[in-house]
Amino acid sequence: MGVGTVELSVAPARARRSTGMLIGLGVFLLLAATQAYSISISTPDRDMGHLQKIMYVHVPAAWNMMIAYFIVAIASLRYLWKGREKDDLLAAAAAETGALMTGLTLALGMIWGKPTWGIWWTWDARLTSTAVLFFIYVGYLILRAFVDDPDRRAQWSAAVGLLGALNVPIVYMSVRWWRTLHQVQSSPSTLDPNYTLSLRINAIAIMIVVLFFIRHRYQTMQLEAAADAMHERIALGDRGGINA
Amino acid sequence: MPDNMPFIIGAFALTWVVLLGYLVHLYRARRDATRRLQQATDDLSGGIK
Repeated sequence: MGVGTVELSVAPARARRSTGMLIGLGVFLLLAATQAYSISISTPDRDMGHLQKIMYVHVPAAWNMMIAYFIVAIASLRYLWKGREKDDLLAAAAAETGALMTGLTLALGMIWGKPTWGIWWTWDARLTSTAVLFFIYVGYLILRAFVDDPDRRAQWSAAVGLLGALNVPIVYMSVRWWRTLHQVQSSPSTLDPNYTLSLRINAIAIMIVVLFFIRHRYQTMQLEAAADAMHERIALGDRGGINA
Repeated sequence: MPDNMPFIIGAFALTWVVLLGYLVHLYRARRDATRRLQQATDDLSGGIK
């Protein structure tokens, strides 16, 4: 398989780093603007009061965790099919971001759960299946850190990435398949129009943040793979023919 | 001030700490990867520019 074949040069990498910082600044300013707008226009909910505003971070984090895992599944499948290193790196970048968003979703859910349900945590189907998803992808990242052979690491990661992604529909449907403390999914018909608009723009802003993270991590992984490939050549005694 | 304000502030603060923390981690990882690639390029070219 084609692992260990990426070669990049340093100058474009530095240029991309500067551009990445500017894009990152823009992405976070957009997120700040959407949150400020949503908080300012949202009236208190009849039952939850101002606590409802946690929806603007908890729900987008959960939705975008699913988008990250969808990318993991597609990239892992492509790797198993075509054996290209870039698909393995994309899956790994998306898995790291997905695990981050899953951890954030769980933590935000606990913060919302304490004043709403009176408890930080319960072994409810939605919470438990999300925690399982989180630990699968933490395991995925640990696996990548401990397997040295690039081909074997990529194949095993693709298998775990796909298995983990199979859990995503279970997480989504858990509130309908089992009787849970967690509410069923909201829809525009069950939400106040102000809440719907705010939820959508925050979901889009966090989606842009997540896609930025995945892209940035993917490019860094390409640089790391290129550096590893060069160090391997050095170890084998190959010198010369490189233009920095 | 609503009774639940600490939870609301906590949720938004946590979101920003996590996202900005990961952003810093990404930039550090990029800087280290670029440095490693530069080092490898220099080693491989044997100091010839």
